[in-house]
Order: sequence, then C-alpha cells, then structure tokens
Amino acid sequence: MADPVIGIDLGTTNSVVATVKDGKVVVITDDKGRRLHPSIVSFHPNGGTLVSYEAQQRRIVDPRNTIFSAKRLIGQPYRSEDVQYAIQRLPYRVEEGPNEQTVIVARGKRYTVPEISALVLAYLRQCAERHFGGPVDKAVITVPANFNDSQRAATKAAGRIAGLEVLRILNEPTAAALAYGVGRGLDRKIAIYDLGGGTFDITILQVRDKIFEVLATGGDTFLGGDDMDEAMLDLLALDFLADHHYDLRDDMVARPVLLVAAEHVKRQLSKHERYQSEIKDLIHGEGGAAIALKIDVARDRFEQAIEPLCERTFEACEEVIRLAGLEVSQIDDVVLVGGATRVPLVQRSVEKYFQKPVHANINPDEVVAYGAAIQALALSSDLEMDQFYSLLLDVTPRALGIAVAGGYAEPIIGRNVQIPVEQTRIFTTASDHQQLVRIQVCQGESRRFDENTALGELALSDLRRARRGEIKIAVTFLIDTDGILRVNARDVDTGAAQTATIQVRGTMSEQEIGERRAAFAVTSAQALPAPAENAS
Amino acid sequence: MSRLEELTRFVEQVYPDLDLYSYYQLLEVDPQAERADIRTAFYRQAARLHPDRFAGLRDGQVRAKLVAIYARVAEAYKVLSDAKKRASYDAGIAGGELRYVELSRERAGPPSPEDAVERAETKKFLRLALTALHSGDRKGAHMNFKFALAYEPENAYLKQQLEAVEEQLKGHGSKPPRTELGK
Repeated sequence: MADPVIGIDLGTTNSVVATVKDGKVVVITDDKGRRLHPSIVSFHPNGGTLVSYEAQQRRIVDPRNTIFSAKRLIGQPYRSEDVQYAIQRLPYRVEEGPNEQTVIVARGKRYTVPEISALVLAYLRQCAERHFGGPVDKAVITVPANFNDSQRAATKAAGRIAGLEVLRILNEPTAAALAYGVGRGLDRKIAIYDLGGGTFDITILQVRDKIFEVLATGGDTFLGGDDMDEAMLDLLALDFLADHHYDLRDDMVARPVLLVAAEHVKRQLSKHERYQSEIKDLIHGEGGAAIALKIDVARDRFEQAIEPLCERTFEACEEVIRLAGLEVSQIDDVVLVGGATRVPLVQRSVEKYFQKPVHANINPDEVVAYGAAIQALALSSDLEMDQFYSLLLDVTPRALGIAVAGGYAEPIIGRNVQIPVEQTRIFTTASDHQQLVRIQVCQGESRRFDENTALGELALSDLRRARRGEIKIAVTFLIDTDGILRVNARDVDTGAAQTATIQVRGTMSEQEIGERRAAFAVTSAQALPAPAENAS
Repeated sequence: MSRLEELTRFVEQVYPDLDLYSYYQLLEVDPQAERADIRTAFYRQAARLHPDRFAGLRDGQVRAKLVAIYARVAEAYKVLSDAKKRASYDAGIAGGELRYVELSRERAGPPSPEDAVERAETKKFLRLALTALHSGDRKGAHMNFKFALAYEPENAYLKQQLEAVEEQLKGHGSKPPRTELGK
C-alpha cells in the first residue's frame, strides 16, 4: 500500500487535516473527536508546549505566551505594513530578527513564525499518525491565493521544519473547487468566495471533466472574520463606555477577554436575532468592586457595523471577474468557503451580488482540507485512471518583475498567468562601461518598484567594456509547479550567466530551515504532549 | 513501454526542436480553429503533458525539459485565446516568427548600479570606482567607494561593494565584487 498522504488547511484561526480513505475524504479528528483544531500555540510555565484546544484555554490566562494568528505574520518582513498593523492587535511580543524576519518572543525565547506554524503542523501530523497508526510524512498544505512568494516559501519551510515533505503549496480556493468538482464531470464557471479568519480570496475557475483551470484570482490579504470580531468588540466596548465611562479597548487585561466574547457573540448572532449575556468580574472599579460587562446585541446592529467589510469583498470580486474576461451573470456556481461565510449578512450579500443561491453542502470550515487531501493523493499516486485524478492549472497571484532605471518596475511575468511558466526579457545597459547589473526582483502590480514587495536580488558582473545600450542582458523567470520562482540572468553575447533561486527577504535561509528542522525533531519529542494526553 | 518511458522518449524528441513548433502544432489544432476548440485542445495537451501528471518522474533533467515543453504549450494557449494577440501572432507567423513577442513599449531603462545611489556626486564616485575596478585598480576602487559613501553613509549597496573590495585587498579571492544575494 502507498504511504499515507494528508491535506492540511493551515488556517489563521483553525486548521483542518484530511485524507482520502477507500475513495472517500475523511476529516481527521483529535483524540476527543473534534474536527477543527485551533491554530494556537501556548508556551506553558512548566516548559511544555501546548497546541490547539489546550493552547486556546491559555489565551485569557496567559495572553503574552499564547500565540494565535501566526498566519498574519508568516513570510512577511517585520517592517511590512501588514506586520506592523497586526502587532498593534496582538497581545504577544513580536520583534525584528535576522534578515528582516519577524520573530515572536515567548517565555524569553525567540521563535521564527514558521517555527510556530511548524508546532501546529506537527500537532496535526500527530493526529494523522494516530489515525493511521503509523508514520505520516507527506502533505499538501494550503495557503490563500493572494499569498506572495515569501509567504508561500515560509509556509513550505514550516512544513519542512515539522518534518513533512510538502508535496505542494496549494491555493485554498482551488482546493475548495477541487472538493466540489471532483468526479462530477462538470463544465462550468465557478466562483469561490473565501472569507477566512484573516484573508479574503475570490477565485474564478473553469471546470471541465477533471481539469480545473483558474481563470483569475485576487482578494484582500487583510480582511476576514477577525475584522468582524474587532467590529463586535467595538460595539461591546462602546456600550461599556457609555455605562461606565471606561474604554476596555485600552485595557490590556480586559481586551483579550472582550475579544473572545466578541467572537462568541458573532457566532451566536449567526443563529439568533439577538444575543444577551453577561461577563461577571470583567474588571474591578473603585474600591475593588467587580464590574460586569452586560452584553445585548441585535443582529441588525452587528450587520450595520460589518456591512462596509462585506462591501470591500465585492470590490475585489468585481476586479477578478473582469480579469477572467467574464460578467457576473456568466458565473454558474458560487461556492462559499471559510467560517466567516456563516454570517447571514455575508450569505445574503453574496447571493444578491451573484444573483443565485450559493453552494454550501460541504462544511465551509472543512472544504479546503477536503481539496488538499484530494490533491495530495493526485500528486502521490501514479495511477492513470484513479477516480481522484484531477489536474489543477493554477496561476500567479501577482506580477513578478525587476527594477529598472528611475525606480520603476518592469514586469516579466504578469498576474494571473498559468504556471508552470518561463519568460525571458532582454534588457540593455544604462550607462557607459557598466560592469555590473543588479537584478532586483519584486512582486506586485505597481509601476514603482518601491510600492511592490521586494523579493531579493542577483547580480551579473564582469560585463565587457562597452557603451550604454550595447550589452544585451537576458533575464529569465521560471516558475515551476511548486510556485517558487527561479531567476536567471545571462549576457546574450558572451553567455556568461548567473542563476539563483533568490533568497527571499524576511524569510529563513535553507540552512536555517535545516537546522531548525533537526532541532525541532528533538525538542518537539520532549515538549509536545501527545494529543491523547491531557497536559494541563 | 511504461508511461514514463513513453514520456521520456517524447520529451527527448520534442525538446531540442521546441522553437521550431508553431503554437498550432503545439496544441495540435488547425490554424482556423475556433476559440472553444483551442481550449479543448489545450485541456487535452494539459492532461497529457502537465508535470503533475507524472508524480513518479524522478529524473530532474527530463522533468525540466517537460516543464519547458508544457510551459510553451500553455503560452500557445494564452496567445491563441486572446483575439488581439492571436491576430498579431498570425501576422508574424507569415514571416517565419513562431513565437509571439510582446511589443516592447518604450523602456524606462535597464537596471544600472547607479540607481542604487541617489545624489549626483555619489553617482560620479561610484562610476569612478567601477571603472577603476574594471581596470584592476582595487585601491582606486576602494578610495572611490569610500568617497561615494561619504555622501551617502547609510547606502547598503555601497557598503557591500566596499566590503567586497576590502576583502579582495586583504588577498581573499581574486574576482571583482558582486552583489551578494538576498541582502
């Protein structure tokens, strides 16, 4: 029998792991039968490392050492806007590490973000190994479609640190399409509306027989269910402010409690029109008297607060449908993915926008892991007519280009171009007797180099002495099926070449990954409680 | 013959002549084919040649060639699916041009090390440093990099160049400095 393979949806809030067993997708549970695993890691004072539900319980009592939403930080340089924005809202410590990396500090130890994600992945792997009763080391891991090259590379690094062979970094919406489309011989245009904890993706696919062609993809990397929780938190805090003249949002002790409550109220309002409750002893007022938080929120009021968030998703839809060369009316099916799509306002708005009922037969929390499991099988089996044979034709989420004179970026491979792809552009030298060209690579659509994400650089040196414009340099970008970019620069006349898989800014080097992987194998064996045990 | 052997034979046969195939030949369609037929043909070729269909292919060289062939097939599909690009491709094919070439718009200019610095004075000394370096005058290069750095003391590119020359002056290595990757 072939080695077991798993599909992992490594989510901002929750993760899911699935596999294909006897021709059916099975979601792998923890020892208590739970199918969703919180993507949370907590470093316990006794030296133990807790993951999933046990870590979640520590969120309120130990917010400084309980790491959640690591996905919002992964693969992004510390100084990036996204990281700076995220850390304002995170109760744990985030610092700048080597190579501009973002590092997390807990109990006096520094962790790279991939190491934190590796702890979650190792936990999921343990669940899978218990399920199979043997070792599991091959996985497909999903990422939002609009993740850039560094975020993908960092996610892959996390998998490798956790001891997994990462068969593919797969786009979440594509995975969802796979889960819905496999084996049904469809010939349809499908929109995948994916509103997760931290990101929004919209992807348009053409599905025929077993081929899944992504026509266009896009989204908003900083929009998701967490923002709805924040909106709810604002409502609760404003009510409290009106009653007690005290803003809980500035209170570092009360804020985490309030955030957990906000998420709970959001969920309740997906089922009920109005929700009332009370949190006793939230804070202590003058003379140590306990003050309770009275919660009373009607669905209407919450919906008013989150409507602008909903609207932002349709701006992205508009653009992506246009990129696919289609009109909204040409979309045959709409699939909802992500826990935040349970919010009734989201469902209503999506149905109104696309003018058709949405598909949600597969649990929106699990559909991505379903697809990942199917793809894992497709990539690990050589069976020609396997019922799960499916072929994904995915695209580049962003344009890739190089810096040219004047601070501009010249695209080499456009956005939404199918991969694998190879593209060459010829450039000439800008100044007389130029001996060296610097090839700075960036990702993004802006004409200005600085406004894009810089990925790294390589140099071509020893150019012959010549006047400007006389030397021709061929720059080739190659993206293989793994989505990782390789860049080659060549002097057209002499053939002298430089090839590099560029080391991406804000990520770990190959050597670091190897070291962490080896160290991880040792520490995780000691620190990670087996999922079957209750280590509190 | 196994699937992989068959593929390897195909790849070795097609790859050396890849530039000699027209997009229509790559997709195995008639030059008069409708857009819908182009899509069908591409799906047929993708099912046949996509690298993901060969999970067991371990030979890196064969795989690289397969990726190149498949990427060209995808390029054919992309160009022929776009009415404007297809018209331009069809016009070029009459003149023997078998690959679509993006009409290059006026370029802002190619990459130059001088973009790494801002001020005119810095550019002047950087130019002098690079010229010195080219003629093998490392001391001259060293001095001019230092002058350039005096104008822009925080410039990472200049610092890197200076360090590289210093390394060489110390006798390590004999190659001219190059920009390190990933810095």
